[in-house]
Amino acid sequence: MLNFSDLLPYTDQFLKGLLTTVELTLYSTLLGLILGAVLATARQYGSSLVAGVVSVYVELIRNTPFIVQLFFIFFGLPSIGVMLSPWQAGMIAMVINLAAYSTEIIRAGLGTTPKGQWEAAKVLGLSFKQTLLRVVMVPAVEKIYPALTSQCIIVMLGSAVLSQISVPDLTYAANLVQSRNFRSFESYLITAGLYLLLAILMRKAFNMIGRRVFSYRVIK
Amino acid sequence: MIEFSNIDIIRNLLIATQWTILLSLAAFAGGITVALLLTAARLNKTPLLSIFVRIYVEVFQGTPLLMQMFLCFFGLSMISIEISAWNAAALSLTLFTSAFLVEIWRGCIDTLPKGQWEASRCLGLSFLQTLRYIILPQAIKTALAPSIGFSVQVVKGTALASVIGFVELTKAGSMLNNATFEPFKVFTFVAIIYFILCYPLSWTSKFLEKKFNASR
Amino acid sequence: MPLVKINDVHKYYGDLHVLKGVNLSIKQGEVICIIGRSGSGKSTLLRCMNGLEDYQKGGITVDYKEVTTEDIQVKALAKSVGMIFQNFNLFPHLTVGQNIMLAPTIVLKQSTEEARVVAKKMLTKVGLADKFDSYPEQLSGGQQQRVAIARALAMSPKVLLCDEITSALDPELVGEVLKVVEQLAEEGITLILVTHEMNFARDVSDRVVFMNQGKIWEEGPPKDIFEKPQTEELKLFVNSVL
Repeated sequence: MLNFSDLLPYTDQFLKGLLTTVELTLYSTLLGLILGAVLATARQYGSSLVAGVVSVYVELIRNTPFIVQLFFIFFGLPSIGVMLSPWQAGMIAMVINLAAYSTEIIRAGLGTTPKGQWEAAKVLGLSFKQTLLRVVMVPAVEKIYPALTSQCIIVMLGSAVLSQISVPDLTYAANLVQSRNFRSFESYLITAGLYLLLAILMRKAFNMIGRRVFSYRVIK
Repeated sequence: MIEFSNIDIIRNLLIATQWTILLSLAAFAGGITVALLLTAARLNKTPLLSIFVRIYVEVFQGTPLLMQMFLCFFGLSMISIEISAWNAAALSLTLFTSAFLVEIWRGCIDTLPKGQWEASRCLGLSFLQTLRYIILPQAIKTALAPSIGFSVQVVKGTALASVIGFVELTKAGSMLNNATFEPFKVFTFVAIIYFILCYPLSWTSKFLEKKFNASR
Repeated sequence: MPLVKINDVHKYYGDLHVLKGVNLSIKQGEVICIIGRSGSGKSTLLRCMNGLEDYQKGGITVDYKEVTTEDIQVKALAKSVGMIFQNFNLFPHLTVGQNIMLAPTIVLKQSTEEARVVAKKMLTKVGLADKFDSYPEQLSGGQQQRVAIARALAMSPKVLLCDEITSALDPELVGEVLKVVEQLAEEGITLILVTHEMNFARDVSDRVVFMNQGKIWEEGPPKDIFEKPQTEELKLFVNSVL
């Protein structure tokens, strides 16, 4: 039978794990999205060489599993002299992952910019950078905002794998608890519930931010 | 200690790759089957069924695949079904895949104009006839590219079966790493093999999407 | 007994009372035009007649069949009632021929050969015999609407409901569709049209029904309706559209 009371003594472990996951998600989302926006710009407006390099990066990341990228960074890189803590390795893996996906997504948004927007900015004397940041970027991101939100949530959920290189995240806590009290199913069920809660809160937070940033839209 | 040459490493990885492919196929086939049932349940106008499908999608898209695998593995063993890592992995990947496919297909079906349903109804077609002759033939065209695109996520998802001890490509990589102490080389090979498996699927998906957009 | 009998029908969208007790009888072979401002409930009334919309009070019978939104009733009705839509609603993945033959083969269980003969006949009637193997998107709007008419006729309905069938067409294409409808009227099929084409309503219909605020405000022969409107509302409406 299910027995959740055996989990109560480990509330602290779960909370600490949860906090680590939240922390990792926050940083990686921020860095990943910024990097994604930069790479998307390079891919969309850069020279064909730059665009080519970016698309090779994007395809490499998108077509290999996250766990393999993580193992490569954590186990592989030290052998060529790059030593990383589990936390650092996990963080890097999350950032390069999110950056690759958001590059694709943001680029699609940039692609929908009507030519007239660029022309209007040009005749007003705006530079490329000014046009990009002040005119083009916000409406472009708005178009793909739901997809971007989903991708950030997917990366957060994917971070469960960081437990495999001993990053003390939520899944690591669940592993630890179930190894002590042998209530595996209950531990993982609670943990899954916490992830679900995080996912729902994250979507809510994105929607709230979205409403502020895209407040120029007339709400129908 | 046994010496592993590059050829040995690659040969061992390729043997394990067969299991990655097999697991992917099983998960994708299972996922399509379950997603079809869920889609029919959703379109049928029973409120209870569509609420169930919505919660199903929310749960499987809102929790880590790794958690789903753990829960399948330990959950099934708890209700005393003898469970192998293969079964747990195939089951959880099937559920995971179906949740995403049903959502992808929902988009494809819901963008069809309401008039298609109304015209079918006026001509006397039943719900199932409308699905079969009118809705699915049109939805399949739009659903093909994103579904194939998602199959990349399924192949990559099979890598998590390594965590519950199923020996597929990633697990084989870890084992070879422990035997050779050459992580850089081993995981590079592993990554290349995944890339070879996934890239054609990504490419096909993109190609079909372009073709479809051009034909409109 | 009339072919269509609408008895005190009320319909609500939530709190919005869109049909407020509509009564209407239509005899076999009549051509009825329903006119009125948008939001007067005329399209809703039409869609209630073949079960696309439900109603909360009253009753509708068509060809001795009670009209409800139950699937089984809608299916039975499809054999007596055809419908033409504003946006044609042709099936884009099927050829013109397949569009017309689909329902006769799977609903009426005609053989493919039988259905093909009927489909060709109906296409000839609407003047598109050469488009049998074309796809809808290769046709103009007017041609698509004529195919939709042929598709409905292939079910040999007793009543044809037309829901603003020329509203989505470019002005120069309206004539070809109306000509087909006029020809059907002459052949004696019962027609109920919701329309904004006042000239058509005046020249072709046997009776014009003016709807306002969810009710039938006035009805009568087209001459009376257009030349001797009884109510202030109809006067205003007629002046604004003619």
